[in-house]
Amino acid sequence: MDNHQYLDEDEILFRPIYKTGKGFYALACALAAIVLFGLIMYIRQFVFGLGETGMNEPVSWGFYIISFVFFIGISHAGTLISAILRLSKAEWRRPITRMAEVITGIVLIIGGLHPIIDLGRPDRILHLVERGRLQSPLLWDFTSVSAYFTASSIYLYIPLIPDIALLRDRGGRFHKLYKILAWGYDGSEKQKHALERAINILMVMVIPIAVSVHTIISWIFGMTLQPGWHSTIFGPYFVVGAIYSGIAALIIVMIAFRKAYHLENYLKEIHFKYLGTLLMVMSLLWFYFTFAEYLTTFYGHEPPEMRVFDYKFVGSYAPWFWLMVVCNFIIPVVFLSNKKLKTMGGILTTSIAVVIGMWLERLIIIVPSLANPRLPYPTGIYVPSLTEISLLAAAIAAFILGFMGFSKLFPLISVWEIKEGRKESVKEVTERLNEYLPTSKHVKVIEEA
Amino acid sequence: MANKNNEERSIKFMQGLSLAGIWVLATSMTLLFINLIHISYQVKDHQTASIAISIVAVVVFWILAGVLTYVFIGLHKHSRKEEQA
Repeated sequence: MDNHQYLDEDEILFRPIYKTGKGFYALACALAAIVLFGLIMYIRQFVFGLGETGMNEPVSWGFYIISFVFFIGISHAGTLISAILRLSKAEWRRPITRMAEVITGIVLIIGGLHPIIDLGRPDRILHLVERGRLQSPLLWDFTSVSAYFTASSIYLYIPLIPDIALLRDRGGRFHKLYKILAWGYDGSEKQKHALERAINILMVMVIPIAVSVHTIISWIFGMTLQPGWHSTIFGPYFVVGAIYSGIAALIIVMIAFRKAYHLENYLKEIHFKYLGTLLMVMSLLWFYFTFAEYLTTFYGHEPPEMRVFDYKFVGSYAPWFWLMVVCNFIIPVVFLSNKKLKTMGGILTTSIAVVIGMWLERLIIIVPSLANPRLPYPTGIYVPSLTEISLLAAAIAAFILGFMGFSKLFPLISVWEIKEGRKESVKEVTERLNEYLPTSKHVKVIEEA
Repeated sequence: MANKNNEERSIKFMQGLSLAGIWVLATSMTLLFINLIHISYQVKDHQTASIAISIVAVVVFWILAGVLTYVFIGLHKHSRKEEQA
């Protein structure tokens, strides 16, 4: 990793750190205003209680838990793109990994706050610490999300060290911060080796941790006897949904920052086409799990389960259910299976549809089951209040703000990985191809370009 | 010269502090689970599976702390300055 040879070539990657346009400030102010409004509404809720929300009996979970599951789900973007593609040595991952890892870090914080907001009295989270029950899926959840957040943060930080060292060497503002965070990195061979080893360990560790996180979140529902929840398929269903929403969110973020910071030379159309293909595969997988889940319910025809089923398919929640199917299956299949529609615009449209659809999926899973419990209550009604809507808006605004803040301190695209790719990838890929492909005296061995 | 030495020392101190954070976290999680396992035995509400999973969770935090420490030591020990010295 020669720090100076390609400095001018990749200068654009450092530009967001040193130059800030009026658009950035305008957007940051608007987002900060939304976050502030959300904070005011939360303080209102803290003072006046959970009566400020639409939650009631029997629908005791609403927007907050929906958003909790949604945001934690998006965190799988980092794991899939960064860890799995790194593990499989997919070279096209290089400009994408940093953004994916940053998404993971930010959404885990935002998602993790939602159960505390949902509690009403935030001090009650200490009960989990003081006298939590080991058999409770809520405690498992707290543990797995903490482990995932720790692992993801370290997994974001370690590959960031060489770029922090570059920023330190360039001088300028935050010089002291970069000096501290660079941990003395100066590009020696043994340092590179130490970093590479640590990244290799983490990319293997983070995958089962990520899978466990969303499996355990699904068990918060699956381990209950609520109709519509008590299903063995929930674990893999939630993991597939999480990866699906994660890829979609990553595509949206990539397109936005590509446009804002003119990164067309780094985030090329081919990256989006590959991610679009992954999105298509996940769409089909999602549909398979959804179909299996509802077919099993319908075939069993248990009365409590069918009440929930009818509520979703033909009842009050039917518009949201079918909108979810359109967003998560129809639009992705139409746009991504058709070469003419699989353009940047098409992929962006699909990604936005998927993000909306996956939020709706969490709504469809949570509220109808609570509204139709086994006990003979009349069907529950849930209407989100202004407090809940504003906190959802604040969460989304906080996510965007967090990303913008990161872009002001560190490069959004991994500079050292791009330089390494230019220098060493062709040789590495050629060596690998020569290992995979059969040799024959009639076929020339692939030579390095 | 004295100012530069002080600055280097304060930077090394902050770096050490940043590493200490992960060990504090790992220790806290260990103490948390010891507390929860102790309570589960007290109220006769323990299950072997839950205890086994808790132990695995704690080990994950220690491994993460170990990896970060390995990087910290590796970077400081093998810098070009140290190698030339």
